[in-house]
Amino acid sequence: MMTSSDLGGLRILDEPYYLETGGEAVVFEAACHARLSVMLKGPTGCGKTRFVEHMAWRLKRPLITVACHEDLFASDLVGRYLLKDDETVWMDGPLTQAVRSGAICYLDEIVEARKDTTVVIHPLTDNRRRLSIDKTGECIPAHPDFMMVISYNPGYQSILKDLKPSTRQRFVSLEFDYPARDQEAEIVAHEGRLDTESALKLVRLAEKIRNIREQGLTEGASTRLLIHAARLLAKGVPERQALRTAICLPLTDDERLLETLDDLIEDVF
Amino acid sequence: MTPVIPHALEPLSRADPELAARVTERMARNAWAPDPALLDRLASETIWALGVEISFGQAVAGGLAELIGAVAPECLDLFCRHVREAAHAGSTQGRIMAESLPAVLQCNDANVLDGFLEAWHAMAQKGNHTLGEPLQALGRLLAAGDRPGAAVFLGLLRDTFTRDLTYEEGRCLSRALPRAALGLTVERRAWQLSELSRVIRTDHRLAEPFLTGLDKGLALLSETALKDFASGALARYRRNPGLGTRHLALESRAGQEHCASLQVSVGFAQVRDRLQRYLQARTGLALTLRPLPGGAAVPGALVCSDGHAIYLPAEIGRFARRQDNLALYTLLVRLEASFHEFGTVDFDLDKALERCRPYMGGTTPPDGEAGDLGRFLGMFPDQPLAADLFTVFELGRIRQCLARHYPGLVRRHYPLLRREALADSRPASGFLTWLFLRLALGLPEEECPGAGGAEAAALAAITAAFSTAFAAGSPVEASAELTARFFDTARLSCRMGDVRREPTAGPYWPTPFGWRPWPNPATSGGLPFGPQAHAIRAALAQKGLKAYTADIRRRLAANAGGLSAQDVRELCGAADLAGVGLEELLGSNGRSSPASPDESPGTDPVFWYPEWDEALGDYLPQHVRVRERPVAADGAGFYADVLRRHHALVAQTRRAFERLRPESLKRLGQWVDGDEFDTRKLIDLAVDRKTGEVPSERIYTKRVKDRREVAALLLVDISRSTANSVPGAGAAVLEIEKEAIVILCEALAALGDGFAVAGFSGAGRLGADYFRIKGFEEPLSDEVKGRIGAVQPQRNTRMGAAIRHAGRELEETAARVRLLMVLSDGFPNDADYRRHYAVADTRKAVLEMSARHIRFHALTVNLPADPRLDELYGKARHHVISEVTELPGRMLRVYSALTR
Repeated sequence: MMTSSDLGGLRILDEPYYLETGGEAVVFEAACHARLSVMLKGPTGCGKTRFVEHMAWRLKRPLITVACHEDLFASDLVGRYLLKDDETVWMDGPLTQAVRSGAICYLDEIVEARKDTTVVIHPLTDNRRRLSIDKTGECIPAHPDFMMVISYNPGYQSILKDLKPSTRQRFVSLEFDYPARDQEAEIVAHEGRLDTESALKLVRLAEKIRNIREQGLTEGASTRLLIHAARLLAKGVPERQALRTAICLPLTDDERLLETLDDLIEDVF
Repeated sequence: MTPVIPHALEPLSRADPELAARVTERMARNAWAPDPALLDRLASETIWALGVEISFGQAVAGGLAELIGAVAPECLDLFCRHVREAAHAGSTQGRIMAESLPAVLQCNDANVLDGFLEAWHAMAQKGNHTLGEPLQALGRLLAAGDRPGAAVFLGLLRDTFTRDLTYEEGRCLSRALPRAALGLTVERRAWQLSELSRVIRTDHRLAEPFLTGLDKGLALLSETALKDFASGALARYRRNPGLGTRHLALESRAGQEHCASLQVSVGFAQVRDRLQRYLQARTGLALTLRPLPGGAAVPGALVCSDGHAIYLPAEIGRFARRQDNLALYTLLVRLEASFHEFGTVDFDLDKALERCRPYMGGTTPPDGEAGDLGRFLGMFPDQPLAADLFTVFELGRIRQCLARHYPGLVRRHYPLLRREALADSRPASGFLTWLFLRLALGLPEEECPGAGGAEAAALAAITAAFSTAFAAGSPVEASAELTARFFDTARLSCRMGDVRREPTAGPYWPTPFGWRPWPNPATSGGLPFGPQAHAIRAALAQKGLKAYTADIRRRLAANAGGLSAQDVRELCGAADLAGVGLEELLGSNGRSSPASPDESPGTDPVFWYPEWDEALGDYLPQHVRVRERPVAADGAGFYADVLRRHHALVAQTRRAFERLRPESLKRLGQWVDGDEFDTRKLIDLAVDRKTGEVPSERIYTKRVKDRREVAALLLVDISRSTANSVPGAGAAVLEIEKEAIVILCEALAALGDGFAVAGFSGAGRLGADYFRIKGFEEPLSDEVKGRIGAVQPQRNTRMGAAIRHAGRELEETAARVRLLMVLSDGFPNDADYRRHYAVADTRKAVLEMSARHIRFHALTVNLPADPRLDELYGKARHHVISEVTELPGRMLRVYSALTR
């Protein structure tokens, strides 16, 4: 069972920087107070996780994050029996912890998880707000402050990795995208500790790269990549090297696309 | 109306009235009356020739009619003599001589005539089959005025056909040489044909490799470089014929490197892909890159554009170094893209007039179809001067935009622009020159050639106005405003002795590389949705609503042709559109729906696909019609027979593929959590605790589902060529392919992978057939087995469309791994779908599969390994199985390797 000191460890004390772009905080807060679950959709590196952290801080709720993957089983979320000293003890999983303690449970990249795992959250995300644990025989009502948040990237998933309608329709959905130019430059300048002019150049470069998304770059250049590049530039790494290592090489191995990215860098910088 | 037959032609009229009438009409086109004695000659020669053979007679009449009055009478004697001599060998030769000699005689060049007769003699000895195409090509060269090229071509024909050729060689060369000659550019034809001649004199079998090399890049070499290359290749050939041949054809790495080291010119095809990707990234617009048409769209301009494409030279060899020629291509694309990115092409006449009213009073623009910018410039009394002034200001605005958004571009590429402008042979000083260098190119004042004292004040005023006119984001109409404001000043200064242009030059002041906003098709009103935008603007104006054409056009383009009420509100700045009647106003500006299959009831489903045109650099939309056709089963006899004959291989394959099948649940041991305890690890834990060691926490086992989610589609080429027999196998290529399909079906049935089989062939772009042999949902029934046996070879191979259609079928499957395997016996080939065009389209289709996460692999059978297959499919995406009989076993190995 989570203790208050454990909970304290999960509370975010310093404000995570987040620049609101379209009233998403208001909607999230309203959903939280209405005890609705929220689904965040958007491309990689556009600020979904940072948003959740920011809202957890703002709402003064502990945040428990689970990175979903193919081998995630229901027991990874709910809990399992473990051997401790000479005893067999039940250990709550992160979902159970959140349910009991009233934390925000954030399932990141939910589509990566197996569908028989995802279905565990169904009773928590409708009016029942309960979690059943077969192994202990418990049926735990969710703490009033409990909130379920999931995120996923609808862009590059295959048709196999899509949420079932029965799961999707349990959530209020917020759509994220890369911010408008000035806002993105502000974010990059702040997080990358770089001057605004240089941050604007990075954003301009990213805009050009996003124009050729369907030419083989699965995703365009994310805000996260720009922040990485900004941090390298702020540390004095030469421009071309910083941009190549932080933006070009993570995006693609295709030589012809790298050639085009180099051309764009040459023009913009 | 029947022409009046001259008296001298009456004998001919009695022999062939229609021919006489035609000759009379031909004569009537001349400005002079023909000499009756010559007509008499025409008639008698023609009658003689008609007596030999009718088409021969018609040719003689046509030839003489062309020559009479155009050449000296001695030439007519020559004509008649040579025609009669040729006719000794038969009427066909006589006819061909009569058809081809007139053009030669009209040259009035003894060398050309001698060359013709030598070539004729050589070709005629080889047979009539060598005469037709080459002499037609000669006629075209002479008609185009390329006498030097024609002379060299005749020498080439002579050198070629005096060699010891087989019938087939003669036939092939008589086709290849004229096509090659006509395909060469007029500037290079003579010396390129001369090199070809030299190569053929070494060995006529080198003609085709050399022509291949020309296609691949030798054509871009300078005259000296080509000579060097050919000398090197021929030296190699003498030492090792195989190596030398590949060197000449640019099929060997050494040949390619040799060519690259000599190459100074850069061809459009060599740079297009890279520049196209840059263009898309830079603008995000649907603009393609295309070579400039033969007659340049804008005289003197190396670059221009319209609403669909940016046009560049087919080749740039302006500079002595290759990298400089490459840099010029790079510069031209970047400059022209700026017109589209920064709004030059969106010039709006209404916006311009609002800005220019203080300077232009009540002047109204002329009507016409010149586009908004053309109509604006037409308001000035000296339109070329207004265009030049606008060019200066607009290029200056573009420079400022580029400096703001692409400082690297300006830093790297503007020096070339400046060098070109300064190296110009125009007079060093001049009003427009100074303005252009200072404002458009951003040269510091001290580097601009000094303008005359009287103009200094005007230049200072203009410079000052320019520096304040363009705030960030200033539109193109701001350049129009400056033009209107300073037109009179410029006119005065130019009248005061500014030698603005050479008398023989065009009306416009020549900018570096001809890059300018006007004249330019991009600003002449040809943009997508332009006419619709004008119509909507006029309709809104009638309702008392104001919107700008350029804004409407941009919104239409963004909405793929649609416009909503909300759009109109935003464009007009009007909150309330009640009573406006938007539905009627907007008409049918519905969005176009993507192409969908059309299914005529009662007929096979039909699908339309685009085709990639490499020369255009763009897709031809809705170009190929693919029809899905059923295959009637013929009983499962063939299938059963294959199983019987290959029972050992089938049994072995079934066992091997069954082993590939995953167990439904896999048990993993030594996990930190799980469903059950791992007994061995529990024992270890007890032992560790007893000995005081820290026990491991990995004491669980867990079971995970192991899935294999593969969908494979085998696409089989069933074109006519697969009917060819396989040497030593006693069967046709398709029969062996069908055996392989049977064995693969057995293997996949054992493995449990979803699979489909289809065949493809076709004739022309409207006749591509896709034969569905087995669908993904179908079990391996007797019906399906019968279809495999029933497949027969037919028609041609239009591979690109077949791949696209197969990809469509695969996309509809819900498998994690989707694999398209193509089984073919050669290269794509169909009506108007050959060689480089077909290879480029097929390659594009393969890349489209990758983009759609469909793995692609090709098996080519009955063909020796050919590096062109790498170009067709990509290096790692194909196997060659030269021995077709090995196909069944090899195909299985390839499949299991691909899907492991």
